[in-house]
Amino acid sequence: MRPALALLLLVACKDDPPPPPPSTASVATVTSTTATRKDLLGRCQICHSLAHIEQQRLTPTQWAATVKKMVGWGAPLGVTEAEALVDMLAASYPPDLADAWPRRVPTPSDALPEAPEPPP
Amino acid sequence: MILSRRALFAATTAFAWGSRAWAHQLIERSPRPQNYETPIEVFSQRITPTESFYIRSHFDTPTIDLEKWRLTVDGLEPGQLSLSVLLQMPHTTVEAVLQCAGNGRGMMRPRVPGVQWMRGAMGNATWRGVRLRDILARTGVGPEMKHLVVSGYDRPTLPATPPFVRSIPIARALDANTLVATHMNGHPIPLAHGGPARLVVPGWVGDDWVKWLERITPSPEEAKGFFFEKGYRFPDPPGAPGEPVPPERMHPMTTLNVKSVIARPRDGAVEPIGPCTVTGVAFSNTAIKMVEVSIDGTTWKRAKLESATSPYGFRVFEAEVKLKKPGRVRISARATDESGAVQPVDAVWNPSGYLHNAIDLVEIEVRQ
Repeated sequence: MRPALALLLLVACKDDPPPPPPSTASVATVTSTTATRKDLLGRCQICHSLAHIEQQRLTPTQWAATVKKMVGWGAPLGVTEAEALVDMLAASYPPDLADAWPRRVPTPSDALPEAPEPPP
Repeated sequence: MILSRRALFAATTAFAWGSRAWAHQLIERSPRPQNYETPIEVFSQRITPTESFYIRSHFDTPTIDLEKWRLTVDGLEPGQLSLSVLLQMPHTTVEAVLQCAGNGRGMMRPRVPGVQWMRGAMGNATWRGVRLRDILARTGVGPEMKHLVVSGYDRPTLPATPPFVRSIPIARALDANTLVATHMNGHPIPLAHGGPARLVVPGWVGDDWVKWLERITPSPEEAKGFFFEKGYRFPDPPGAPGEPVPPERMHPMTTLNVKSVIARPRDGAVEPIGPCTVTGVAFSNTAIKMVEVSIDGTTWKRAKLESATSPYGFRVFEAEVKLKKPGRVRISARATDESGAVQPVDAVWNPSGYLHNAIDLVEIEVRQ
């Protein structure tokens, strides 16, 4: 079975055979299920940006605990959806994935003082 | 091309605005809620400019109307302080380091969840405001009140998400350096940094520096809820790295721990053979006694410290090391404070990645 199809079926029905171990799954495999991924991550983005997720490098156990905590905090995910999200996150952002490289941006305008700083 | 006076004005105004907006940059960890890190090179100076100061938020930044903003103080008559009343009260200024509990979390191994801060979730500013004890003196806090419960105007997006509520022991609230601060580095505190008023608790970890102050309540008990009963707790004694820690061994974090950070040379820099100046900042919950620098991890050279201005502020250090041959060199810095606490080789691993303070290391390449 093609990996993309396997992941789609996993989302639809948790009784199907499990996907390959998360640490060996590639990000490309997961991104091929764009619609599901986008939908599930959209639930997370009700409260926080995607960047908050993309910088994590966690084990499946840690991802499961994180998603459980978020569901307890009101994230609108059913049981099957939460399990699918855990699998997807564990496959996409495992501990051995290279660190995310955060970008530098202009300081947000609401963090600027009203006037230029006086000399120290 | 000839510009009209209007076009010239528009162009120069745009340039001036643009240059200000782009003059200072932060490392974006998460745009929502706002979590931005200070670039490492900023830590070669004592005061962190507000424009370069890290931002930490649990929830979306609240909208605040300064005219309508009120600080509710339970036990006070009348029970609310407006900003104009607060600004008219006697004020004092304290220079102090604000550091996020999770600064350095990105260096914890095994990895832990949370914002993956490296070295820049910290900054040193002057904070001006009203002593909290001057406000509490008006309430007649009784001896049965052991804690001060503090909350801000920020709200979680979803109703099931717990609000951010903290408490500090009343003794710390009554300390002369604990402020309801309205000014940061000489200007009103910007909204992203918790304006118009935030709590300032010098020497204590940033989770107690509650932003967008809304309510303070003297209480016989510690705060309830996730962010005090579960969050921001540190193991004592610590467990094995990666292992869960039983709840009874997790205690509320209070003070900062001793730490130094190298600003220059930067990690990955290429330096010529010869003398090399190592610069950075050090801080703790009390005054810094010394900072040492090493290029072999064995022999340590005492760095020169800038004169102290506040026991709670940054101490800038500088040391010259001699780079003798080509190759990779690891430069490390370790601080010792007046209590005798020394920066450790390894940080205490904990499930939330708090208070990382391992000896700081940068690796450079020395070339002919």
